Amino acid sequence: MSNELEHLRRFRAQHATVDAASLHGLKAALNEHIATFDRRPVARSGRAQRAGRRHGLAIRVARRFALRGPSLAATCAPIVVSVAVIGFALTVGVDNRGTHAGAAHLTSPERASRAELISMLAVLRSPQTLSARAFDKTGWPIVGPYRGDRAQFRTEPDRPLIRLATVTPWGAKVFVVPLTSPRFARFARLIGETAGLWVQGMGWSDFTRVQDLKAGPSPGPGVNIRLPNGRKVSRFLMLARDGIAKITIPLERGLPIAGKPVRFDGSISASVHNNIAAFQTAGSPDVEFAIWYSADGRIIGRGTAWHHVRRIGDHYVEKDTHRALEAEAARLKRLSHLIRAWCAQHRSGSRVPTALTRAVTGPETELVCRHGRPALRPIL
Amino acid sequence: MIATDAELIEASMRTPEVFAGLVDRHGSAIMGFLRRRLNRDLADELAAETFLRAFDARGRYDPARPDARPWLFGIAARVLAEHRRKETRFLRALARYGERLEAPCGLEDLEDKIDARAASSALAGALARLSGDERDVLLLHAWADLSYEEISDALGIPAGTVRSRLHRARSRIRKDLDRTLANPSVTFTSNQEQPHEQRA
Repeated sequence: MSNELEHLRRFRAQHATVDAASLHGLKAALNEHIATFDRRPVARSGRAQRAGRRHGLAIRVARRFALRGPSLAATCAPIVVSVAVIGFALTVGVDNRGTHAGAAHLTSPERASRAELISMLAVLRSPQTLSARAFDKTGWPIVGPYRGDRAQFRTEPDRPLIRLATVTPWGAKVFVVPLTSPRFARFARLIGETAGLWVQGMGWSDFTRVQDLKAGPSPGPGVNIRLPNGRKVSRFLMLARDGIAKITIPLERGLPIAGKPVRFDGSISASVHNNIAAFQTAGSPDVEFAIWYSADGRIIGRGTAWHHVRRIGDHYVEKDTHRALEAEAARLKRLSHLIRAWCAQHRSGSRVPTALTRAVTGPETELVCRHGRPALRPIL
Repeated sequence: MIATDAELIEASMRTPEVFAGLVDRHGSAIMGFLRRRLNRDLADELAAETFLRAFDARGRYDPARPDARPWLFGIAARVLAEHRRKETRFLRALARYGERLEAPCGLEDLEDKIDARAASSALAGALARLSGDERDVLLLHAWADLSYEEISDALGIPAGTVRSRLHRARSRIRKDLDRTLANPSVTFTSNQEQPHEQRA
């Protein structure tokens, strides 16, 4: 007869090593969270106090009925109980809606300025994980609608709202990165709330506006890759608002002929996980539109703006070393240093090797050296 | 001087930075608890998540409870419940492949290590076969050293349910271990190689 508790405790003794560095990392993550949270005083049992006020109303109604006499009170008791239950349900519902974990740390103005984006993307309402928190923007070039030098037009990644959304079937991490509003108010009103995607091995997507998301899934970055085994694949992602469960893309057969219906040759589908749909298909198919499905299989809509998927360059051979450089935030920082070092040794106007820039540039931009420093240049 | 966890949490209402003191007190226990149940990277992430959720929920902490361990382990269990499938996969992998034996060592040490490894594998397999609820109760009792009442508080279930789940979990683990250790299917091939399962 074995003593199971004895075995469990022996197992604990054998697997109990937690080193000081790990604890230090844990503490650093907590300290960073504390440094960025909303510093308004926390009232003890604030939720209970709010709930108490609403229950108080139900109790007051019940007492008013009770004063009319026992028979009336007995008749109205079920109604009073119903009112109390509905009041409680409303209390819980309102509390859950108002203090969802993802936005709990934001101050009121920040929450208000991204309220629409947060309400459309469930991934932003989930708690921030350690890897999303560690996603380091050091060395990031400017992302968003404006990529020039004027500071008042710039948008930047909104660090507290960055989320690790998913890991694609081919193993790339996908981060959803909401962007801050530009300081120039008229421009800020013009573009509204925006977000981008950063995908391991693909770099940045273009920016996505709220109105783009309302219209349907928004194109993310795409890349044509030649795998080490020689196979060519096309990979691309889409950012989809809440309610879209699956996206299907019909594949066209041959080139469209004027005056004749377009012929389709199969389709590719991807289910949406944390607002992200990731596609991988052989070759580089020509596609025109996407069909969006809800969770119960209904067609929600069709998108015709599919051609906006940003493909990055031509086929290039993906090497493990490239991916390894992007594997962690710390390595991304190292990548940034590598690019700077490369630029310091090359003439102005030289293009930084594609494999290096893939991780940090958007699909429509490339890095060139300018006076010993990397600078973004649009790909025409 | 902050003596109890409750005082520390109370102080963190005024000075949030004080809350990091809970990591010094219980970080190692929480992280170890999670690392035994998940792969290291994910466990570390969930440990951080546990403390972040605890910080956000500190306003709801009951100051009548001086020790915050049950509260923290409860949060850790809820965080971990969102990754139940990964936990089961990890335990199954541990049961199948175990951990690489360190080389070289004396013959007596080697035998001890083989025995320990076989027991670990069998235990991981048995744990993987438990339901998530049973596993939570059993491991909070055996690894976190929580009493029935503390487990009841941590998981928000009645103490009677804790007792029945624990009894059921212990019985199943005991049967599994008896069966597996009586007929060991894991052998050791060489000091440098990964032990493998014998094929029937």
